[in-house]
Amino acid sequence: MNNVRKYRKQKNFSQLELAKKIGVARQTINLIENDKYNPTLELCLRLAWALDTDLNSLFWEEKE
Amino acid sequence: MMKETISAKIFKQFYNLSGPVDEYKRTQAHAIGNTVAIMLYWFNTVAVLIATIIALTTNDYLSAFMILASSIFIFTVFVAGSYVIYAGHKHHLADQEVEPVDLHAAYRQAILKSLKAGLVLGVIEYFLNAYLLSLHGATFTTQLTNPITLVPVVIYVPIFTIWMAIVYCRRIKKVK
Repeated sequence: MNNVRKYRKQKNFSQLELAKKIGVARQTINLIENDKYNPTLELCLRLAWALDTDLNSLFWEEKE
Repeated sequence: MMKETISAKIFKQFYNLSGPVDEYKRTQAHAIGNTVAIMLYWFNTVAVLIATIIALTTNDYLSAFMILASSIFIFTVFVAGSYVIYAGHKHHLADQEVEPVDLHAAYRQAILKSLKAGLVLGVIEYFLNAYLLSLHGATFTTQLTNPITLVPVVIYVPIFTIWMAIVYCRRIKKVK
């Protein structure tokens, strides 16, 4: 599971607010948060910039 | 705000996309388009092969052409078209999210949109019926005033309008 929801909540954004910030539909944010859609690198970067973080914090998973 | 190009409008209209076309919607629409292209490729190949065999074995080229043309039309409109609608619904491409306060306005818009679609269908069907009836006798202008021309319009248009209103209203989702 990625950390998009965690960082979004830390920034006090609703899904709609974040979606508007990065120019996608709210459903897309919901799908990303629930790991039902793999965003492109470009969208990952936009997410990271909007949430003032980096790609590792948002998407990195430790090898089990 | 950037103006939408005609090709973007056609793309949105074809896949019933609502709102801005982001990368998720574009990716899903492309995947649906690929599936439809594969479906049409195999269907057309088999249909042309069968029609060619019929034409060569019976020498009835007109019947072979009519079988080919009608089967391609029916497959494209009903099978491929239905798949596009089904897949779009499955991937929530047509969902229109509205705030609770805007819900009534959205339903009103959906009903107006379905009435407009019904009106367009009604006008097309009316003139098409008059033309088809004119092939069997009286002139086109006479058929325009013939009550029989109106019968299919009166039967099909309300059913189509109600169906479209249900489809449009089901796409409206309340934002939680």
